[in-house]
Amino acid sequence: MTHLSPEVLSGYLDAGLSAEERRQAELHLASCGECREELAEVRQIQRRHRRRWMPALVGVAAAAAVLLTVALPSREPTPSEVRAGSKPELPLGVVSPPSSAGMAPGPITFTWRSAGPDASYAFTLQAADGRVIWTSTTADTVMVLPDSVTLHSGSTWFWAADALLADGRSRSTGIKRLSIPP
Amino acid sequence: MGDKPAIPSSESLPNQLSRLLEAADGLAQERAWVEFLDCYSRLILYVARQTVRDHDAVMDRYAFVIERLRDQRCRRLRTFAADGRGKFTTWLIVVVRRLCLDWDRHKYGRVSLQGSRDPTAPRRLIELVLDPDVIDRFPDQRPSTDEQLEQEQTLHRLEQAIAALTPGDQLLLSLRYRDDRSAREIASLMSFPTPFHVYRRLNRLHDALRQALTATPVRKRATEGATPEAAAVQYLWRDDDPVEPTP
Repeated sequence: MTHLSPEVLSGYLDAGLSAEERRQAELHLASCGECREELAEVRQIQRRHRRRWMPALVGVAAAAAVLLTVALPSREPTPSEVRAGSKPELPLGVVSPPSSAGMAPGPITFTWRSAGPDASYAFTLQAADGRVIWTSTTADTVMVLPDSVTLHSGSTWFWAADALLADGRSRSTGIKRLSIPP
Repeated sequence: MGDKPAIPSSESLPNQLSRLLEAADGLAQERAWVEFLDCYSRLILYVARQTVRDHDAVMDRYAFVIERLRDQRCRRLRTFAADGRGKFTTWLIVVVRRLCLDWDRHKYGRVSLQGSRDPTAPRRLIELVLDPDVIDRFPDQRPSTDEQLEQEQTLHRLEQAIAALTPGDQLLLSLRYRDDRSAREIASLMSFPTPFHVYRRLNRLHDALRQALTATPVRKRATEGATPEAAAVQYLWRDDDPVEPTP
């Protein structure tokens, strides 16, 4: 008995035969236990081999996804993203003055936490109507108002310190309220 | 299922195979061969490992297989390129498995094949088709017939009825009752959408075979002396079961 050729056998399994070829193959298979055994074994090998590689493929895909997410932030940030932040950054911590309590009379010192070793800071003080009262830049995390700037008692001002980091990103204290009690 | 051209275009060949078959002799072919092995060695080794566990024995088979695949300027691979009708990996599994069996024959002599089966109608199918009512009725219909002869004739009629079925239905019965394959396995082998389609088809076939074997005198008159197998064919022709194997 002439058995099925590898081309016909694999074609049958992959549904690649014409209708007449399929009929001929089934006619042979129905009466040939050896070819049926081969047909079933080949299918089983295919399945086992697929199952064997599936966990590895899933692992590789997961690792690739992690790499893409974590290790490849390759795009340079646009200027607007540098200013606003392309993603939420941790706010710059404020040390003094405290936001809620009223200020004691005397010189006011603005202090914030460091944003990094190479960061520079822009300090802005505004009146309640939005006018910029004073602005300055520094590499330090402390700003003392000059004598020329006088904050009257019973008024409210707003201030902010923005940090520009060496890699182009920025962090900010956010706008803080400053009240001088009467 | 339409009749479609079976020979694939060279564009459907895997890249590594195309490059190997198109490579000129010498260094280019050597490189293409290495590239082919890089791609398919794992699969070849996997198939070789299915029949034997020992590492050295697996490597012997692997060496034999790749030697045969490269034989006569990759004659076997060119056969697939010219006539392959399925996926290359399926074809490769078939060829590697056969070459491994060749290696076993070469080394250990003829290998006994588990796939050889009894050619008579499978016992389980007989029990399913010849239900007790039918068996009890036979002696009443032909009381003068010896019981042994009666059984033989019945089996003969069953085999004839099976032979009148379509090749696909014959294969379905063989896989189920000669090889004891599960419906899930059969669905996968014969491209049925689900195992339920296999069960439904089998039920139809049982009915058809019962019909063929228990054709009553009334039915015989109605079909003008139709033979059991002809009755089975008629029954199947009337069968409007939409379930057909799908590629």
